[in-house]
Amino acid sequence: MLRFLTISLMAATLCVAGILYKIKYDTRGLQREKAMLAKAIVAERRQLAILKAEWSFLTRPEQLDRLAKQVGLGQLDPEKIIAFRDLEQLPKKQPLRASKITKISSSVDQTQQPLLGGKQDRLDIVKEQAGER
Amino acid sequence: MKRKTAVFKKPEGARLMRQFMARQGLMLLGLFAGCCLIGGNLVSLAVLKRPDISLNRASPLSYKHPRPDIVDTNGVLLATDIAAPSLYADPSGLMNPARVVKRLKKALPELDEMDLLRQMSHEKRQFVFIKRGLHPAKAQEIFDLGLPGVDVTHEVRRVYPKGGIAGYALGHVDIDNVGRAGIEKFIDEQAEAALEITDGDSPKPLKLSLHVGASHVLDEELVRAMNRYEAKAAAGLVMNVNTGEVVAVSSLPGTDPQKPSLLLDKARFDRITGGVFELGSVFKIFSMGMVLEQKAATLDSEVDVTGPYQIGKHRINDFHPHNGKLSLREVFVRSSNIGTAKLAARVGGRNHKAFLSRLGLLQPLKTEAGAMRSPVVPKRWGDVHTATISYGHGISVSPLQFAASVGALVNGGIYIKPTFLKRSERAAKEGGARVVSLETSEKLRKLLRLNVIDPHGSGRQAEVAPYRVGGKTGTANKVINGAYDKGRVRTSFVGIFPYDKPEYLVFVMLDEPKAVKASGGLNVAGANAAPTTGKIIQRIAPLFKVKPFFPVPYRLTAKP
Repeated sequence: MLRFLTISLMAATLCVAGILYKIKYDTRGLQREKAMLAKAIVAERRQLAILKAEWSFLTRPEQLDRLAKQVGLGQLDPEKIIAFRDLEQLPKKQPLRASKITKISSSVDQTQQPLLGGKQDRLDIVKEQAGER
Repeated sequence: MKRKTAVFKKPEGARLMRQFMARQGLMLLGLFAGCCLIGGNLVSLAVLKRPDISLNRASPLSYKHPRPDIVDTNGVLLATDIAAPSLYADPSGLMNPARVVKRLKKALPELDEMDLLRQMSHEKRQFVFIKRGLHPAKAQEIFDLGLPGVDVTHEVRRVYPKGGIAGYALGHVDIDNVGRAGIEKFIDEQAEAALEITDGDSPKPLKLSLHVGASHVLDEELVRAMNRYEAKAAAGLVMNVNTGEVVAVSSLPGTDPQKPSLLLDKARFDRITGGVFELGSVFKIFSMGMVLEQKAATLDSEVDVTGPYQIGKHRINDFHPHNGKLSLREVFVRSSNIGTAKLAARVGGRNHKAFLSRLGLLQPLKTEAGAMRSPVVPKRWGDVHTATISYGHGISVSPLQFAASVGALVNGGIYIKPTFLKRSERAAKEGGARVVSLETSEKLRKLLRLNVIDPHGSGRQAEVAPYRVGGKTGTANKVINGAYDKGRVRTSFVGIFPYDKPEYLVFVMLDEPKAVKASGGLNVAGANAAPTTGKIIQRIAPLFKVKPFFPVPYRLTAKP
């Protein structure tokens, strides 16, 4: 009985020692992995910071100005800004009241209609032109 | 002999032994107590948070915990830390430094070949910087050449991708990445108050009130104005009058935060906060505000403006002399010095000083961009001072301080301290103080509008019809060697839009514009600063979603 107890205790000790060893070994592996990941994260962060700075540099207002002019976008004419409720009243072809609005509706209808869907899109164009930065 | 042996007698030995054991026990106890002390301290350090123990910011930790980014009101990056690659060489083990230098020169044409070779040929040196702060792609390219002894290291660098936009306000950092001026310095001051270590994460970006697009427009239009009117320098700012936020700021010749050495040039200083100027007739806004607020006159009160007007030894003349009486409205629109001085005299010097003081014009002012130049105010405030200061002479203030005070008069009467940080209207109004009544504010706005649309108005060229601009011109002779120089002027214009419910204020100042053809052979503010302001408003109004006003039924008659 006593011998059995001794043997089983010894076996258990060995077992636990083995498990402990494995856990320790795994932990070391995980630690190494963690260190590597942390290093990679730092590298990625550095890269991100550089890319962000570069993006900001490439979108300098003077650069955007130049690009906008190339694609034929210019300064937003205040006459092209319409209130939402006026937009609802804006007929497809017929001018609403002032000659100014004719200018917009005709240009939207003829040149931009094939590209765009609804009124919302037209508004977006206006917004884009407004966003000078 | 006998005695000596007696020492080793048994009872004596046992006593010594006991003594020894007792001492040892005492020592062990002491050691145990010491261990407990250290252990306890460790536990208290690790478990209990001690606010009095923190890390020094100047330590190398600044690499792991970088400065916060600076972003504009829309989150556009203005300043950030990047780990910039620097190329260095260890020449100690090099067989043929000349060959290495030659190949480096090929990749980096801007290198000083001779100097580098001299440094690399030094046998005992183990570290030579080839080039610091390279573009990462370029560094990789050179690294890929596999040159012996050449390696790449990373150094933190502050970069300002938008170049010189709002350069003076942003300030700059020194070689250790510590803020030395402007908002960069403000960040360090704030950080000292509450340093938060965020375990590798970047600190939260600092959001400014500045708008990159508007600042660019301001820069561009001021450069054009400088060229067109052959001015020596120019400055401008755009401010939200309801929140006190400075949304655009420019001072030319400008600076680049990346190159602080530019500031060694005397002509390069921030004319918006770092200089005080006699602004001239734009000050009449304050005089009229005061007269109306104190009910010393109404818009229709008449004064005799037949010149010259003598006060003591001082004689006041008008640029456009007029014989007879003018109403307050006309005094303002025709910018009559005599009329303004006479109206201000009704209020008196003491009230005048108190009023300007309430408007924040006489005290030093500090913003996040640093302390501003203190206003230059006469020590003794006599009748002559009241007269001259009523039309903007004999007092010097910085443009930002001036703009904040005008903002208070037109936004409904609440003085709001100007800021470079993003702020909500509620927060601004809570921290503000009422300086004039709503009624006075409304009257002043009408006067400003009148000055732009009246046929006699000096600000006619600032009008941008759909945005309904109001504004006032100021032309001041410059003081050269202690005397007014009639030929050299400083012109300025302060404009608000839309006049009935102002959202933004634009201030433009030109230094020594010439009487060129483009301004109709004149060098007054109405011919140069006013049209420049108009052009700026036309371009920035859509950026801030200010509603244009159509059709055009407004008509503000001189006598409603």
